[in-house]
Amino acid sequence: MVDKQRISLDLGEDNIDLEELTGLSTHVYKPTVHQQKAMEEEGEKLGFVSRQSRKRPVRKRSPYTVQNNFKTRVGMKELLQEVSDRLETYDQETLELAMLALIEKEKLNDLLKKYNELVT
Amino acid sequence: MPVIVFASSKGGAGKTTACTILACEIAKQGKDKNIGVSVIDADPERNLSAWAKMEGRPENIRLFDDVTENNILDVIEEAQRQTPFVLVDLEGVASNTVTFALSQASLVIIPCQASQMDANKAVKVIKMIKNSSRMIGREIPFAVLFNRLSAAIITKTGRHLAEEFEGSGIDVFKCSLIERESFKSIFSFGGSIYTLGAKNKREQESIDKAGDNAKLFTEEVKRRLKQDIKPIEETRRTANG
Ligand SMILES: Nc1ncnc2c1ncn2[C@@H]1O[C@H](COP(=O)(O)OP(=O)(O)O)[C@@H](O)[C@H]1O
Ligand SMILES: [Mg+2]
Repeated sequence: MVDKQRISLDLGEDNIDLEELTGLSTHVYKPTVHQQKAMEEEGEKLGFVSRQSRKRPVRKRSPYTVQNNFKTRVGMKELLQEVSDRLETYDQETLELAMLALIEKEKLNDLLKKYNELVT
Repeated sequence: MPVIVFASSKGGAGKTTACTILACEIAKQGKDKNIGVSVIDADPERNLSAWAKMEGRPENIRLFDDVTENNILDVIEEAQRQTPFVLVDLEGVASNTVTFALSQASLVIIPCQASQMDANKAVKVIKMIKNSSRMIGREIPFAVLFNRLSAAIITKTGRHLAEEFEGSGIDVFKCSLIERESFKSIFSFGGSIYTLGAKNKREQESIDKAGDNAKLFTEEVKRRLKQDIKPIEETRRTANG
C-alpha cells in the first residue's frame, strides 16, 4: 500500500539542481511610481484595497439590489456582523458564502450551478 | 533569482504551510552548497514569523517580517540581495501588499482546497495576476496548488475543479499537498518535518510520506521555475528590444 502510493506520486522526472536555478536571471524591474499607482487603481476595482487608508473595498455599482426583510433571534444580527468582520466581507457576501458552504456540504449540485450563475 | 509568491484571497488555503514546506526543502537541498532562502512574512497574522522564531528553523532560512504595503517592494529587493531564493507568504485578503508582491513574482503559487468556494477565491487572485501582468508588461507565471487532499485519491469535486481550471487555461500543479499531521505539527514544534521526532514506526512512516510529498512539490516548483525563467542573456535582449 505504502509502496503503491509512492509510485503513483512519482512523476518520473530527474531532479533539478538548485544551482541550475540560481544561475538563471529573473531580474524583475520594480514598478515605477506611476505603475504602482496604476496597479493600486486596477486592484481597487477588483476589491484589492489599501490597508493603510481604507479597510473595506470600494464597490462601484453594487450587485446587491434586492431588499430582504426577515426576523432573526436576538443577537443573530450581531453574530452575522462579527462573522463578516472576521472574514472581512460585507454582510450580504457573508450570507452568500454561508449559502455556498451549505450547498457544497449538502451536495445540492443543481443549486451550485444556479449559485455560480448568480454570483459570477 | 527566483521570487516565489504564495497568494489566495482567502485565509486557511495553505499559503503559510506550502511556503514553509518549500522553504525547508530548498534549505535542505541548499545546505551543503551554501544556498540560502529568504522567507518574507507579509501577513499581519504573522504565522510564518511565529514558526521562524521557534527553535529548529534551518540556519539557511532567513526571515523578513514587519512588512507593509509601503515597504514590500524594498523588502523583496533586499531579500534578493541576501539569498538566491525568496519566498513571499501573503495575507488572505485582497490588498495592495498582494498587488505589489505579485508584480515581483517569478512564480505565483495559489493554494486551494478542493471546494468551489476556494476555487472562486482563487479566480479573484488570478484576475489580479493577469491585470498586474498587463500593467507591468511581463507574464507572471502562476499555478493553482490543490491542498489538503486526503492521502488516497483526488475527490470528484477536486477533479472537476482541476478540469474547470485547466479548461479556462489556468495551470494546476500536477502534485498536490496531502493532508498530513506533520505539516501541521511543524507550526506547533518549530523546525521542519525532518526534525519532528517519531514516537513509533507508524509516525515515522507518516513523516516519510510527508517528506515524499514535500519533495515532489519542490521538484515541480523547480521544474516550473526552470521552464519559465529565461537565461540572463535572453532577458537582456527582451528588455532592450
Ligand atoms: N496539507 C496540510 N495538512 C495538514 N494541515 C494543513 C495542510 N495545509 C494547511 N493545513 C492547516 O490548515 C490551517 C490553515 O493553513 P495555512 O497554511 O495557515 O493557511 P493560510 O496561510 O493560507 O491562511 C493551518 O492550521 C494548517 O496547519
Ligand atoms: Mg498564512
